[in-house]
Amino acid sequence: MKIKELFTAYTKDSFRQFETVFWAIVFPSLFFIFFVSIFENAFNQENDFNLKAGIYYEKPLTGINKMTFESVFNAEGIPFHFSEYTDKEKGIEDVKKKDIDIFIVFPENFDRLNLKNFDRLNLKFISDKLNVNIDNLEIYTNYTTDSQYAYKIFKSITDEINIAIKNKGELKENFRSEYIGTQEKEFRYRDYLFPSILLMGILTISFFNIPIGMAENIEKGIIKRFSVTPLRGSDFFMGFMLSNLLVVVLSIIVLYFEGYLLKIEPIVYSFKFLSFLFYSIIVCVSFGLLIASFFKKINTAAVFGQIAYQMTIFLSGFYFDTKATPWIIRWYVYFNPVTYMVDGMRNIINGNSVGLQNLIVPAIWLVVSLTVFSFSFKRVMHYEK
Amino acid sequence: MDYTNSIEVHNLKKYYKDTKAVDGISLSIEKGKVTAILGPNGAGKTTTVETLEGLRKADSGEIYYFGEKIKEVDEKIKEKIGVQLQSSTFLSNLTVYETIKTFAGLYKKSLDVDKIIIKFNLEEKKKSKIKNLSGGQQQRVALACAVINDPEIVFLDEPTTGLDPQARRNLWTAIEELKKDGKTVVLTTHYMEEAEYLSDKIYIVDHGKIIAEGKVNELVKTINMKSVINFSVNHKSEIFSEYQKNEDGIFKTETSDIEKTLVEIYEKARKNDLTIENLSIRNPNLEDVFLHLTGRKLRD
Repeated sequence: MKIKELFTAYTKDSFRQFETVFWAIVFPSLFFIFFVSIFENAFNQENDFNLKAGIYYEKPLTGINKMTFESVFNAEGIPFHFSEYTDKEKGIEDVKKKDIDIFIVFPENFDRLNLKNFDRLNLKFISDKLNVNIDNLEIYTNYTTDSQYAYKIFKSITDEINIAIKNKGELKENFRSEYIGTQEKEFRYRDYLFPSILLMGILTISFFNIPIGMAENIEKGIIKRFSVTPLRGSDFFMGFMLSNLLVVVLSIIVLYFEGYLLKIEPIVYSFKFLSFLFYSIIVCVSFGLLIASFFKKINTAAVFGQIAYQMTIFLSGFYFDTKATPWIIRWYVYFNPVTYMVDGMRNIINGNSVGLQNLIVPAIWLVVSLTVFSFSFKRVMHYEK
Repeated sequence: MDYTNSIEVHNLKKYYKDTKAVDGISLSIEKGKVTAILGPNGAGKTTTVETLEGLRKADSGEIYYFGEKIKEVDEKIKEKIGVQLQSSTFLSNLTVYETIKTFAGLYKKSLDVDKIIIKFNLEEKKKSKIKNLSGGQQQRVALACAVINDPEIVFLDEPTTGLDPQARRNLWTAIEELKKDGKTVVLTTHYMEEAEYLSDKIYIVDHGKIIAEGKVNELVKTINMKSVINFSVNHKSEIFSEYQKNEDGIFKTETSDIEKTLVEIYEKARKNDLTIENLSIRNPNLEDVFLHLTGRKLRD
């Protein structure tokens, strides 16, 4: 009953503070949207890379030649949009004007490439007899980066075709193929970011709301006032912590809703993921209690909380891979339990299992934090020092 | 259990390193009366009451609550006491109603929140957030929270410090109401006029010790100090040459019989067709008692 009264009071007080609602609930969800819309587009740019290519045939292709190049031009995943020109000069002009990135002219005798296939059938005498010489493809580009990319990409395509033509008929048909190793899921930045944002919301509450709230209760004499009522210290603690946990839960619900709209990997709704998330909440909250054990003043708790928060967030692989950081920083990364929490969540999203280190390192922190807090509990909760 | 003193304290001591915050204080808080603990800042008033409230642990001494000796101020006692701390702060974003209701929920027994709000003239501010209240209004909320459990004893630690005279008067009225309701009130203050106005018994504390105790008039009598009458006349002031006269022309005389001296002054003025002006009478008060006992003023 007393816990309920305090829980209600602290919850109302929290939710009427702009800072709590903004930093713990609104900011992570805004951050998620901003980061996904900015960086996911950046990651997806490769797929949207669309180069404009013009083609001009001095004589239409036929046979295998035609099939080969048509399949290239119509293939999915080729970063070209091909358009056929009937006027060679117009194509050259368009490259100059940068209306297209590359202009490819197939020479009149290019169709003779079909005869090259006879080589592969050991009918070399035929090709020799026919004197299979083919004029070069004419390729026109301009000095733009896209144009240079277009040239390199088209060059690699023609190399592939050359290899294919050379090898034709050499491979035996009775081969066996199999897939080995694990099939990597398609990388999606939103799935990569989602665990970070979840933890960011939780850490905001554990690094700020809990220690600063506790310091405020001490500094403003609120704990002292409650101490002269029949309220037990443990009741106060539960009421205060439950109100903070409610903010955590609401932050997570909002992010999950946002994740649902953004079609996050459905495994985040699995028991496995939710269990690991719950475990992460407990560990993160224990950090807040650890800070509260040492800092009794609002200002010092706020300063330390801010420093610890920034270091924890940026050096845990939240937004970028920290494996390539200098060794001094990497030590902090390894020391930082949030590294293991975010990694554990990503493992689950990628369909892998949570590593032992993902459980043990945070567990060590949990035990240390709770031990320190339980020793200082009386000092934190009671007015008499 | 029958008891006349709600609280009794014997030889209470509380030391902090080299500071003797409370150094052998003994006092009796009579049931249904207002007892004031008066003293300058740092005298040990707050440490004494905070020990009685259970916020601090005494180094030694005995405390009796409701006639029974206690080892610590447990939940049972806390159910029966109400406390207004020296600097009470509540959750600043809660409304007045929510704050009092929260406190009501912390006790097994509590009064009706709406009635308490009316009693302390907080109806208009019922839905206002604590952070938007004036100092006087906040103190009234603190007082409302202190009595929401219908306590037998109410501790008021410097309740009017920092308030303007009007707000102070309003709070005095509220404290008088508590007395009328039969509550035992323990009041600490460094305002001697507050102690004089509200209390039935006063303990004067200095350097952690009680240096005087009793009713206001008893304490004043102990210093055998005379009342002082000041006045001026419109002309012919030489008629009053027997009295001291300062450079502003104000006459001053000390007397232990005010009535007799006033009659003498007015009679003399009437005979000489004079008008007495700016008459003031200053009776000895607790400030004089404190000055007499310590050689210092209460607010030094």
